Amino acid sequence: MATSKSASYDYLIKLLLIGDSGVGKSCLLLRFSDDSFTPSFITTIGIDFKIRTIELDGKRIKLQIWDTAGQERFRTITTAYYRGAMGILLTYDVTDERSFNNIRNWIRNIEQHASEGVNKILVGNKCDMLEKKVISKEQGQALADEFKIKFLETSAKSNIGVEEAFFTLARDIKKRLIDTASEKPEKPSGVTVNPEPANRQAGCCGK
Amino acid sequence: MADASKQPIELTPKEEAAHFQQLLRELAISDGGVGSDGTENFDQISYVIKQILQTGKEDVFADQLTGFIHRKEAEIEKMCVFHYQEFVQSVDQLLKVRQGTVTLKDKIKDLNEQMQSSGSKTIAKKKEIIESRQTLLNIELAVESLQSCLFVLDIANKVNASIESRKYYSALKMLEELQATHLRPVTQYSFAKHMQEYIPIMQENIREAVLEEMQEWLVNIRENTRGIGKMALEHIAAKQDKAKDKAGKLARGMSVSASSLNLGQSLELLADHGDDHENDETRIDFRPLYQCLHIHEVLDKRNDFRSLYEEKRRMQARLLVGQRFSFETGDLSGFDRYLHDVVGFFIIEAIVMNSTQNFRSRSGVESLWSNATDKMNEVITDSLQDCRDPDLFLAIKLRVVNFIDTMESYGFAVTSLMDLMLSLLDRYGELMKSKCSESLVETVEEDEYAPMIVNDQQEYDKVTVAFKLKDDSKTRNLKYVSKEWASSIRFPKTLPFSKGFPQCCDRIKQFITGFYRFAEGFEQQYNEMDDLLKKSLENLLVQTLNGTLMRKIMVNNMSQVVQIMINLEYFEMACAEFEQLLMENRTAHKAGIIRLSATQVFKESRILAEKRLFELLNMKMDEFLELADYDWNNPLPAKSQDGHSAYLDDLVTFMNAIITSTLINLPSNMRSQIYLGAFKHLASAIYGLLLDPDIKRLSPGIIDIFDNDVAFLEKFAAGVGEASVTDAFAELRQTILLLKSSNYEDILNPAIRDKRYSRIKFNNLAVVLEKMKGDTSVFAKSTPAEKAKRKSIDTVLKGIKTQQSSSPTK
Repeated sequence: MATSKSASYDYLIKLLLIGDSGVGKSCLLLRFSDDSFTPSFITTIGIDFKIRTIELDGKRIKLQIWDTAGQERFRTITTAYYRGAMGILLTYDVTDERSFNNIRNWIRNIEQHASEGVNKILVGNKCDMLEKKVISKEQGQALADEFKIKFLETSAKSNIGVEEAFFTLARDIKKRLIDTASEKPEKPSGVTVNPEPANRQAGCCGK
Repeated sequence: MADASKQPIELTPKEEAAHFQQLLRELAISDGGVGSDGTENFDQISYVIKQILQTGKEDVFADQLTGFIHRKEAEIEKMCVFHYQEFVQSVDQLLKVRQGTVTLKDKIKDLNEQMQSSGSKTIAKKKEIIESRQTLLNIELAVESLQSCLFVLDIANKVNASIESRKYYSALKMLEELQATHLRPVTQYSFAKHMQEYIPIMQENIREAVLEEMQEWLVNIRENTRGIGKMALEHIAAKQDKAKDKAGKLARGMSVSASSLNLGQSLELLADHGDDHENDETRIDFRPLYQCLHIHEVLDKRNDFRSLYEEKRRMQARLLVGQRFSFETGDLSGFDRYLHDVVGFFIIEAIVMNSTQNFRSRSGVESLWSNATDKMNEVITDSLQDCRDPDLFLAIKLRVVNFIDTMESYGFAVTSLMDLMLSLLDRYGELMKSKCSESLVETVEEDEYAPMIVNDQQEYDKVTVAFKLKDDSKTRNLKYVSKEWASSIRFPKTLPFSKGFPQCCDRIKQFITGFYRFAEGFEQQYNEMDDLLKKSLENLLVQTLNGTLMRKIMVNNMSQVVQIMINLEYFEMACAEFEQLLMENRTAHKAGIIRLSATQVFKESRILAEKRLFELLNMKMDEFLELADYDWNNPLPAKSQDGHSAYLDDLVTFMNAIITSTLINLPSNMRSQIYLGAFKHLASAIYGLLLDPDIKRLSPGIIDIFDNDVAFLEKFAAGVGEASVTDAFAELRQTILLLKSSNYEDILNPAIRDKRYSRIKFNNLAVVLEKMKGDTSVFAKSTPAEKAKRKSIDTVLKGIKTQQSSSPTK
């Protein structure tokens, strides 16, 4: 059992995956956390999460990524996780126009439930399915530009852009929450160093 | 003389003369008759002379005798004078006669000459006639011979004509006749000899001709056999259908036992058969064969022909049965042709066997048939290698059954074909199994593992067909069914299992019924088939279905595992339905309850799934604990009074979400077990933080934070509605209580310990207490309170050690 005493990380960043049912949120997460892919469709019931530690600018950052159920019936459960999230991956399926159009609704959801200033990134998944693709990269980019967020096309299946999406978002969050609030000198990552203050601070800043 | 002798001396010369006279007369008279008396006379004379001599009287006698001659001469003279005239006359007459004779002789001579001249002509003619007659006779003979030859030749011609007009038998008969009767009389002719020599050749020719015709017939019949086979098969199929209909009607009408029904059926079939065969026979012209047989019989070569025919047929059979066909394209026409050929072939064999005597032996046909069936088995089994379509298999099976019925009706042994059926069934079963297996795996793989939602009656009914929901709701499974389900059916309705479950059930039922649909028609083998099916089914359920589900539970998705647990429960129940279906479909004369071992396997798998769920839940909690951010160094009390660690917020929210969204579907007893397990794991993990050897010291502040955290979790645990689960935190709670109290020694007091600290384990406590001692270094400044505390801890530690050494089990 891992405990915090060994300071296995410097910062904890909580991310949230949202988007319509079936756009591939769980697959993106599985690709990012376990580097695997399963073609069978499994509905996420309620909520799930995965943890992966990454390194950014020499810092060990633990990403706790919450995977939400896209289905409407789990909305009450999933919205509870908006507030704690520091970054949100808005996901649509490039082969499904409805999922793309629904991004506006998801953004409205974010505005309602998430912390102010939460980092967002627009992700168009399944970009490997060229023959079925209905949403162009330009359309995705235009939408992202409209909301002034970053945009990436990904494929969990072919492992395209997945790392980039998560890293981009994590980097932005680090920049916003940690680097700007670093009037406090960083603690050396000694054996008993407690990253909590930074963490807490980050959480506070998000509010 | 006698007289003379008596009185020789006394005679007087007178008397003597008289006596001599006498004697001369006598002698003259006797001279008259010269001949027989001569000797006598001579004797007399000699005697007289002798006497005269003796007496000396020769003069007397010579006188007498001269006297006598004179007298006699006188007499002759007188006589001649008397007859002279007459003599002259006679001479004249004689001269005249002589004259006449000469003329007559001349005349005759002339006549003769004349006759001779005319007679020579006649003789010539006669000679001619004789010659002509001879010629005539010769001609007659020649004609006769020629006619007999012509007759023979005519027959010979007729023989040829007969051969030409294919009347071989009469030709042969004629030849025989020719040889036996007609040629015999004409053997002297060379042509006959030739013919004689030629007859065996002719016979051979005839034999060859009929053989050729028979060969042709054999070739033609190959084409016909297909048609015959086809008709026979169709006929039997129609019969069987009719019988089946009848049987069905009977079965529906009254409960007739299966065996008596079968008997009736077969009798009926037998009765019907007479016509069939006739029909078949009328369609084929067996004349060439019979003719050939007949001819060979006549030639006394029946055995030769029999073996020849046997060989030909064997070759034909080999060719026929060895034909290859493929099922790969799904086209059965090749197979049909094959069966038609075989059926036709053996129908002809049967007909030939029954319509001839001492020609086709039953054993010969049977051995041919048995070889053929062996080969068929091989060929069909081979061809089935590339057959992957169950429907095609069914079609093949129907054809084979039809084939078997037909052959059986013709009296052929079909036991070895039953083996073919078994192997067919085997392959079909395997195929069905692999298809079913594929589809089960696919279903399991593609299932969404979320409770199934049925939107209308139609969908609901579909599920009911796969799995009898209604029966469940009445019995033990009520607890699994959502509330609205129990009352009345309202749509949309959520069912406890995921949609893969009815799909799998449906597929398995299809497998069972499909198998029996295939098995229909060979009741004798049912025993083995039931076993075969059960084995396959078990294999499908255990290896495929359960195996795939078990692989599936290894995924890191809790909701999926939960759903699999529920599905497993249902699969366990569905086994009863499968068992029922097996019992309904199996052979009638078999009783006993069928039990699938899969039931137990599913039960065990559910326990495994449960374990897996524990694992996953524990893993998640471990991940949360990974995020635990206790500040071990901070000697100060917790920052906020009611504040618990932030990571626990997420944990509790997450657990809540799991409980309300995922675990809710589980039966309550299982649920409380899972909660208990999860909280126990959580409690020991948190305790583990305190025990971590890397953490050297524990400050009272940290204990406060733990106190808060545990209280927070206890509150949450109490909230889930399972009374027993708060018990999971007992040791942790009691330890914290003890650490926060000022009297550590209480733990050594049995009464207090039993009352308050019963769950505390000495081993763990010792480790924690050691860390509570604080800074024990010589340089550390210690307050008296701290020193007292340290002392108290040492006492407890010593007490624990004593207790542990006295009862090592504790």
